[in-house]
Amino acid sequence: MATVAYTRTEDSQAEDSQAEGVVVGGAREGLSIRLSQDLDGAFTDLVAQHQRAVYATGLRLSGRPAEAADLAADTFLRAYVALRAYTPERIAALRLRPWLVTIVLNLWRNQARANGRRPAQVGLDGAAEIPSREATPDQEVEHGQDRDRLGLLVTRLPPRQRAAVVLRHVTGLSYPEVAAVLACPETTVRSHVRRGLGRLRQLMSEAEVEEDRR
Amino acid sequence: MRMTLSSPSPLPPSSVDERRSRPGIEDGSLVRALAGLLVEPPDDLVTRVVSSWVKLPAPLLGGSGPVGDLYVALSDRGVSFVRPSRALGGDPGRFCAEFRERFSRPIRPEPGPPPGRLGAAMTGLLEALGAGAGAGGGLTFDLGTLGDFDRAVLAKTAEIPPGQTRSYAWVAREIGRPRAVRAAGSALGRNPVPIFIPCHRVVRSDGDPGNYGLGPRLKRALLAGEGVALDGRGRLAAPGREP
Repeated sequence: MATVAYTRTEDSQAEDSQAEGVVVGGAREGLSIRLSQDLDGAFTDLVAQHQRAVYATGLRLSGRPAEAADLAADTFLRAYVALRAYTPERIAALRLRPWLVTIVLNLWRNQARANGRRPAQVGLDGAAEIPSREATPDQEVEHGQDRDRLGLLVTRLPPRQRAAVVLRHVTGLSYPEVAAVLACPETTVRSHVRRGLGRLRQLMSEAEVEEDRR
Repeated sequence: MRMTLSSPSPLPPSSVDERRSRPGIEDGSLVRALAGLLVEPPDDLVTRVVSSWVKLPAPLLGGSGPVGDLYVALSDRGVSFVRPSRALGGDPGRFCAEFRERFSRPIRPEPGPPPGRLGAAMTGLLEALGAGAGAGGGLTFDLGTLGDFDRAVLAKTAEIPPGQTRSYAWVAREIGRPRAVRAAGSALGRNPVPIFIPCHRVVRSDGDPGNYGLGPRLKRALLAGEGVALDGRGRLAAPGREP
């Protein structure tokens, strides 16, 4: 597992405090309150309840399943270190999902920067092209393939559109939450989502044309 | 919980995308399809993130058991932290608190071995320790927080068979750092998994058993318990013979 070096760059600090403008306050979640009273007793529940959102966000941002698992584990480990330093009041007021997603995003960006990588544009099975739609005996297999195809297309979106679309429509954050996590105005987020969805539809059209040709 | 689908955002009528999109690729179905990308991780992350701990009862630790019960922390990668219960007043809460202080990682408050491979390896370990043997046989260690030097020192120390001793100088030499004798001693003092990695078998070249993180008395008791000959003053009766 990657060692979690919890170095808070200025970038991430600014993002965190902006994120907290929305991720803190409002109606209190039961789990936040339990964490504020008994961090260690409730932490396992935090992982259990949010691992799907955290993992899927990392997966759809990075496009790499192995990296997504590491990203998810590192997110929770970093969250634990942070929570140990927070006051109970601050913990109780946390909106956990956007807060965790902010951590995923920061870790993903740091990793991409460190590796100098371009965003992954390969399919989940390593193929560089969209897998052809073969005759499938099983609905579940077909759903899985459709999912892989769509996941691949998402990784072809430019980073800002990708982040906006993933956070809004995969992770399921509200527009104000996405704006807080991405540290940009809500209007900008809506624009990124709109253009991202449009681009996806375009990519899907192109893919279908490709397949019809085969 | 999945949120309900939002209604499609109104697009300007002259949108190029609208003209190009095929019939059937609508906003609603795309949004639904994206929601379907919210998949479970392939392996449960809880065991990967949260460490477990068990208490090893004294009778299984070989006869007189100078150590007493041990608290043992495990991650999904292996044993990471060991402390005698006696040193912590028999209080598992103190063990967990020390773990959290040292590693800043979560650990379950309740005892229970991790499922799967490590759970089975723990059972094998109890039997091996009961027979006076060293740790091994499928048990792995999670020393990820330690530096390369410490890990090298501990890996070499793990090779020392029960009932035998080696000097700090030997350890330093074997890891290719013959002048780092004191540093090797410090690294052994920091050993997070004593008993399992037998730092008690590393002694001074002059026959003095040397220091021990859990106390020199315990070190002498452990060595005596393994049949290492000590004289009346607690010094090794036959130092200086090692490979």
